[in-house]
Order: sequence, then C-alpha cells, then structure tokens
Amino acid sequence: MSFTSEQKTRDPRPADSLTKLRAEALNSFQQLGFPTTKNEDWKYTNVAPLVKEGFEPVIAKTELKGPPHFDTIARLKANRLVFIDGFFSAEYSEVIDKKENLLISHLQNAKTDFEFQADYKKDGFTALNTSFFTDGAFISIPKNCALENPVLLYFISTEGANGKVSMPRNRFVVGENSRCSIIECYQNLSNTKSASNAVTEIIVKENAGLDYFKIQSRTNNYSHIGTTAIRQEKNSRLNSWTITLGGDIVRNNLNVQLNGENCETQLYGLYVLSGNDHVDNHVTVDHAKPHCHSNQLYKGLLNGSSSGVFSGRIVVRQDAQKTNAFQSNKNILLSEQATVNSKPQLEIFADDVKCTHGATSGQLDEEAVFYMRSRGISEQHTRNILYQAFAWEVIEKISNVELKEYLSYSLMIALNR
Amino acid sequence: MLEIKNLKVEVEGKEIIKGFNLKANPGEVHAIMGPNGSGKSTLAAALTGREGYEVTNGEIIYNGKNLLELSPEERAREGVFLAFQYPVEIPGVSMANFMKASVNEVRKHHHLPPLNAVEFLKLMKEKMKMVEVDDKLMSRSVNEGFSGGEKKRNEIFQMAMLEPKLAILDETDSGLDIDALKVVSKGVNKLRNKENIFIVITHYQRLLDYIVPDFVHVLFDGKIVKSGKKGLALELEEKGYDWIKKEVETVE
Repeated sequence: MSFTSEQKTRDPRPADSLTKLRAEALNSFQQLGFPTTKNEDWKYTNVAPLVKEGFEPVIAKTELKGPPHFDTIARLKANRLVFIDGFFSAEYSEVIDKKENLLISHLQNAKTDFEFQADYKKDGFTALNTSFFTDGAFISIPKNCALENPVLLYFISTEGANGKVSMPRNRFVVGENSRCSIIECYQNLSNTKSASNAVTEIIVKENAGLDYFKIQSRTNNYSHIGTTAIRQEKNSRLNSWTITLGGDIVRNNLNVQLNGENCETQLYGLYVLSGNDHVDNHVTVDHAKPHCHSNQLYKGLLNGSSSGVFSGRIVVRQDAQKTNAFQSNKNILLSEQATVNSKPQLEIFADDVKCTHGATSGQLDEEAVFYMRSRGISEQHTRNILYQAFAWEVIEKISNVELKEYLSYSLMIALNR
Repeated sequence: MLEIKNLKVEVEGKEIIKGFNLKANPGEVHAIMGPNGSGKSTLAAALTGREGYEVTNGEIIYNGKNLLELSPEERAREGVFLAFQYPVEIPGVSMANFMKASVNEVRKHHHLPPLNAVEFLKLMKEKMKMVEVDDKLMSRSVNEGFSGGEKKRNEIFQMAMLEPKLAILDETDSGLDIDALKVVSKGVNKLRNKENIFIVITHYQRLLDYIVPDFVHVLFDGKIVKSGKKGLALELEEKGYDWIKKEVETVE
C-alpha cells in the first residue's frame, strides 16, 4: 500500500481555489436546480422521485457493521480502489503496479485541482457534485507507460449511507504515449434504496490509449446519475464501455471532446433492464479538430415495464473536416410493456464529413428461435443464447478476458432476474 | 415407424394440407414431389411443429408417440430433423457453440452425459470430414455470410451431428449447382441406414438421381394423389405436373 507517500505530489493549487469553485458551482446549482422533464435533455427521465427526499450528500465516512460482501468483480486482477459510500477505503484497496511517477490514489481531503472541468454551468447534478464532492479516484499515468493491470474503482453503497447520496469525483490523466484500462463499477450492496451522483474528468494525452469502463451491476434499489467528461488530445485512442445491468433511475452522461487531430473514439454501450428499471444514456461526441473517427454502438435488452433512453449527439465543428462519425442504437424489447426512446442529434458545421446514424427496436428473430429449437435446444435456452449473441457485439472487443467473463456472466443473471 | 393419418393443416385460416396419409418404415426413403403451392413446405412445418401452422385434424404417430403433442425441441430430441429450405442466419452465435448446445440437449434427453470439449471437437471433425464441410465454417456465426451451397451443406452437417431417426429434407436441392448437389447427396447417402426414415421433399426429379427413393408420392392440393416406386419420379419429369392435374380432374 503506498497511498500516503504519494499524496504530497497531488494538490498543486491552494485550497481557496477549490473553495471558490465550490461556491460557483453551488451558485450554478441554485440557478439550475434539478432538471425536470420540461428540459429537452431530460424529457424522458423524470428525476422527481429521486430528488424528492432531498438528494442530500454523504458528507462523512460511514461506519460498516461488518466486512462488506463484495461482488466477484472485486476479485479481478487489478489495481483496486474501493470507495464505500463515496469515501476511499484504504483497508480494501490495493495497488499492484509500481512505476515511477505513477499515481493511483484518491482525492483525499478534496483539495486537488484539475486542468479540465466537467461543465457545471449547464447541468444541476454536475454542479451539485462539484459543490459537494468529498473524495474520488485520482489517477495519473506518466508518459510512456503501458500499465500492466487495469485499475478497478469499486464504488459501493451500504446501509451506512442511510438514504444519502454519495458524490464521488474522479480525475484521470493518461500521459503521452501511455496506455491503460480504468474500470468504474457502481453497486448497491445494501437492501435499502441508495444513490450516487458521480463525475469523472479524463484527459487522454497525445498518442495515449484508454479503455474506459463504467459498469453498473447489482443495481437493486439503486439510482445513479453520472457524468464522464473526456478530452482527447492529438492521435489518442479511446474505447469506452458503459454497461448498465439495471437500476431504478440511471442517467449516464458521456461527453467526449476530440481536441486534436487523428483521434479514434469507440463508444460502446449495453443496458439490460427489467421490472421498472429506467436507464438513460446521453452521449455527446464533439469533433473540434479534423481527421478524427468516432463510433457509437449502444444496445439494449428491455424486459418487464422497463424503459430505456438513448440520446446520441454528434457535433462536427467548422474546422473538423474529414470527420467520420457514426452512431447506432439497437434495442430488443422482450415484453410489450418495455419502451425505448432513441434520439440522434447531428450538428454538422463542416462540409467534408461522413456521418451516419441509425436506431432500431424490435423483437427477437422468431425464425432463428424456431431454427434453434428444431435442433433440440429448449426455448428458454435458445432465447438466452440469442440475447447473449445480441449483447456480444458490445462485449466481444473487450481485451481483458477476466472482465469479459464477468460481464457475460452478469449479463445472464440480469436477463433472468 | 412413421404414420401420418388424415392430416389437415391450416395457415392463417386457410386449409393447405387437406387429408394427408403416409406410412414409412425404418430404412425407407420417401420422396414427396409436387408443384408449387401443393403444400410441401407446410407439411415439413407441421412435422417439425412450426408456429402458425395449425393442425386441425389427424395424427402424426412416430415410434408410438403423437408428434403433435410435442414441442419442436422435444421432436428434435426424439430424432426428428428438418433440413431447412432456407437456413436461418444467426449473427453472434458460432456454429461450434450452436452444435454443442444442440448435441448436448439431445444427449441429455437420452440420459447421456454431455460431451466435453475434446470429445465434441473430435465428433465435429469426424462429421465435417464425412459431409465435406470446411472447418473454417465452424468458427463463424451460424449461416452468416454462407453461400447457398454452404448453407445446404451445413444442414447436412447438422444432420450428421444429430443422427436423426426421421430426417426431412425440404427442397434441399433448390439453389444448388450440380457439383454442390452431388456433395450434399453424397452426405445424405452416407447417413442412410436400416434404422432411419428419410422424407425428401422436392419439386424436381434431379435430386432423386442422387438420393434414390424407395417410394415416390405426388402431393397435389394438399393430398397425395399418386404413389409409386422411383420410376414415378421419372415419369413426372417427362410428362410434367399438368399430367397429374389432368388425372386428378378426370377422377373428380
């Protein structure tokens, strides 16, 4: 464990700049308030049931009654940072990769400033997080470093939160010519209602590569509002997976700025919903510079009375010539009550670009179901195989075999809830 | 032993099979020939339990069981196999995984332990060789991007894997050139034995040059109107279906 020795390298700016930021953000929040369905960006997601209890932040570490029963993801071979109700737990965390200038730590005392900010002037939840965040992961990958193991940030909610909302703030920098995988996993390990409001800010520097995962599993009684803001610099590569296996009210904002030429961006998403789950994925890819390639592939399997939302916004600025930007959202509705709203938004100001988008929602191919049954495979098994095959397109490109297996397994559990 | 008694089948409220009778013993190959719209594919669908094909009358007794009471998967486990006229593409499901699930479900039904990975691979290799299927197809998604010939050959490969007791070939010759037809027929002939029954449904006689039937039945307007030995197929080829139509009309 090496957190304390590294803490001195963080905190480059005095605390009063943070105090100022928090005050500004609080001011923003007071003007913005919580969004309502009258706001076009929140048209299909009503947060009133979530915020009516006050949406109060957890402001101090909570007491555990006993050792938490971690999910199998905690066994992943990884640099693991555990956050309990939003606060770092040194006891359950372990950093296994050691490199000079490598920092895999947390924003203790919340003093760390950052050169790139998620926009708190437009989104009430981001403003609230900016104003109240107390802890979160801080990862800095130095130049020319290929991190051997992934970083797992494991955010769990416990009974100790007592209905309050954890508000972690994560900040990652992937240095020039470096490569790493970072996994954020959010789970509710309690039997009571709980929620988190997270913000993650990421800079992927020149020639760097990042595999970024946001996984929500074990989501009974769990709501999550989160924004991930990513800035990609020249020649960088980003693969992102947003995998949501349920949740009461979930909103994943993913905002990617392509801030240099020749960036590659693959954004994958998968949501497997049942009961009254509601999951809203809001993706924005902002092409600010030429010769970048972005692709969004979001897929959903919706059962019960669940509802899904996909909003994919592609902005191609005037300078961003030779942009390729693609988007696809495919859904399978497993029941008649399940619904999905899919909304592409293309804002193109350059003339030499290739942009496409497409959205589908439908049922399983019954011809395929009969074909498989006619080979002796039971109807239930057939459907499970076909659902997995549908989801596989999102999961197959994950290079970490252990993680891929965890997700395939969790997917089956989510499907058969 | 298969016995189909006075079978009537409706599709969307319209009667297509209008009193079909057939008896077939183990070891026999029965060809069912007929013009377009005579009910050939409806018969195949009813035998395998496809949804939307409503049996309004009759029985299909196979080894003492009424097939009509069984689901499609139960029929398959009992040894019924349909080689599809239009094999379905299933993106994301590899041939190997598909066949493994299939073979092991059939084995489970017969109280046999599942094959492990090594045993399964060995079986697959053996059958691929037998029906001349390229092993590259096994790592691909089921039928996805397969050529017409590859799809039909893949049906015969699946048949070889499952070793059915009652195999139904629905227009297996359609869309095949002569070389592909020979390969497919060769595969089928290797699978023929004293235990199993083949029902070969076809519009044209040419398949029957390679898969030689014991009996030929002519299906017309949902009924068998003429039965005979293999010579009947040649006669049909020569005289065309109009000959049958005229005969039927004269009788009526």
